[in-house]
Amino acid sequence: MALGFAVGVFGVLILFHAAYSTIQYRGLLKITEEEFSGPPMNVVAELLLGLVFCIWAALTVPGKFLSIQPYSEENRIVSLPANSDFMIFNHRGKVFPLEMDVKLKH
Amino acid sequence: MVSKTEETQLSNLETQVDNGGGGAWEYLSLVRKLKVRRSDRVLKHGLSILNDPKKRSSLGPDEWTLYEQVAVAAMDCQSLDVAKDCIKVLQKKFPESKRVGRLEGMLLEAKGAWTEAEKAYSSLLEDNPLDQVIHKRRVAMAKAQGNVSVAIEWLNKYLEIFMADHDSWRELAEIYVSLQMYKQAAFCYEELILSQPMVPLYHLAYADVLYTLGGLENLQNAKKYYASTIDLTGGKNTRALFGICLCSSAIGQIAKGRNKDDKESPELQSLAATALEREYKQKASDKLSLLTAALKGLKVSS
Amino acid sequence: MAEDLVLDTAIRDWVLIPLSVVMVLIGILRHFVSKLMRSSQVPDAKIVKEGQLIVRARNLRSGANFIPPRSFRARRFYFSNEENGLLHVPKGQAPNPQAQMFSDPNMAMDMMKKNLSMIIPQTLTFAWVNFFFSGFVAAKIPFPLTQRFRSMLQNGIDLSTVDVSYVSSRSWYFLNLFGLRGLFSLILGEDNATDDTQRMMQMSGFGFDPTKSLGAEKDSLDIVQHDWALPKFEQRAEAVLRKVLS
Repeated sequence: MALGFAVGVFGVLILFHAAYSTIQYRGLLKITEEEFSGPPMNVVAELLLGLVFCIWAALTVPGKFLSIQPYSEENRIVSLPANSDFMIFNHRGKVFPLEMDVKLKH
Repeated sequence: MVSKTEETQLSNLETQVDNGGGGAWEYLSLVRKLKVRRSDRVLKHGLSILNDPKKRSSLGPDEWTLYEQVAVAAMDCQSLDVAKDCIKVLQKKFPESKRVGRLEGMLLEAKGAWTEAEKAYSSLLEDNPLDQVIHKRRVAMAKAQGNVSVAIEWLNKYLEIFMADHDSWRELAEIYVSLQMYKQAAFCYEELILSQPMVPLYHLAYADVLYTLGGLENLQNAKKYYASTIDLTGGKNTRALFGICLCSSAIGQIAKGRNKDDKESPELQSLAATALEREYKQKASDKLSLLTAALKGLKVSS
Repeated sequence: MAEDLVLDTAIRDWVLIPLSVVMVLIGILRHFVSKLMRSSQVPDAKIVKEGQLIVRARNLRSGANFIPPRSFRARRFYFSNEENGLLHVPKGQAPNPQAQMFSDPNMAMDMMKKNLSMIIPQTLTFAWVNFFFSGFVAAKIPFPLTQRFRSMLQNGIDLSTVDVSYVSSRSWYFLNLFGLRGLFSLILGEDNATDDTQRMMQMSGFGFDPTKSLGAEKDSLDIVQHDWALPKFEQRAEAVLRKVLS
């Protein structure tokens, strides 16, 4: 978790650095009066690296993936909830009450 | 809806709490969230929290939810004194609340004072004629008194207005099944499947009803719904596996009588049978012989 | 243009901060006032029924392929036949919402209360800001913006030479008015009464005609093609079992 977060921060920093170097590069081009055709190779490499880091962090940091399969253990429904709005008290518990010595104290 | 993981979590917590391992509040919250009926345990552990002033005050506003939960559980266990005390506390805290009024009505029900409970509910309904829970309580009351036909009538009236309430459709389906009115029950289960198409248990119940109705078409449909249950549960539902075997053999019987060639693939049945055998071998090997005998009986007739 | 404007720190202390604080306090006040004035609505049985009907019809539409064809057709007939289908609204019987509003004074009253709690404090604060703080350049945002933002950020200053990143006090008021919603949902909880956009939705939903949505639902139900999904499930179940057994 902490590692993923650190990698994410690192990736974002790399992206920022790439942006910064591109701006610098364009400033340089302006001085030498050349056309801007594309960022230099090392910036592209930096961008890709930052992208990979950011994606990796985004996939690991927020949490585990949940299953969407209906038959996975998290989603497989094994019993319905008791329909508690229709609960009735007139059942066998009335004839055979549980021997419970309980009391609400105040 | 209780999924498999939640079920194991619940049973783990249950053993932990029963053995005095703490976590009573987590257990009670889970019971409330999953809406399972564990009244005896809720009563015992809920009271242990409520009787301890320190634990109780640490709950904050959840304290009152717990009082309500314990009150209902106490009614379910016929500990009417406890229920009465809980309701009294709630009454003091929320003097004008309709929710507390409902609890009082339920207490009257638990006592068996039907006319008074009816009176309490109708006065609550006068204030708010669209209170769903109170309408439901009236249905439950009719059912508790044994007037199932009255309960059906109420429930139908209720569903005419609140027709998207699937809990009530489920209740109606169960009542119809208990009265062996399978056609009506099938309608209700269709309604449930429509509202939650991915719940295998509704498919299973619908298939059960269709199988019970009988007739070639119904049996074929039942088999399809058993198959969908298997697909949705990943083959882990034993009842659906049995259902496939039963349906196939019944279809075979009818089709043989009509001398029509069987369009159904027989493979599903044999697969289901092997799956059943495997499951029995793993979980109850001593009953395996019973199973093979039963399956043989089915196969012979097909 | 080139040299920066220097903003007096007194502007920060006596314009920017008081304005923000006042906006927050007024928002909180509005929340509680509208909470006091809110009347509990008793929903009409017919409206509830129509809502539930629409939910059920929508369920039927989305889950149609899970029930046998005959059941589906029976249901569709029940919902949308021309004589007494539930979704069928006879022509000329659709109630006019305007007429309904006049027949029910409570409704109009409710709307007025809502409007009052929204408009009165807004006009008052706007007048207050205009009176005391008009013409101040109250803040500077730390990034440059294009000219198009001038009308948004420099409302009340008629100078075209000032850099767009400077914010006038009146614009600061507007920014606060619309931008504090996140803060309010933190302070007052999710369903606070200050949410203007939600209120707008309600307002536009007020003239909303339930019979229209019934008709729309009926139309979309009529064109549903029923394609029963269950026959496929037998093969799928076979595949599942084979996978389990292997």
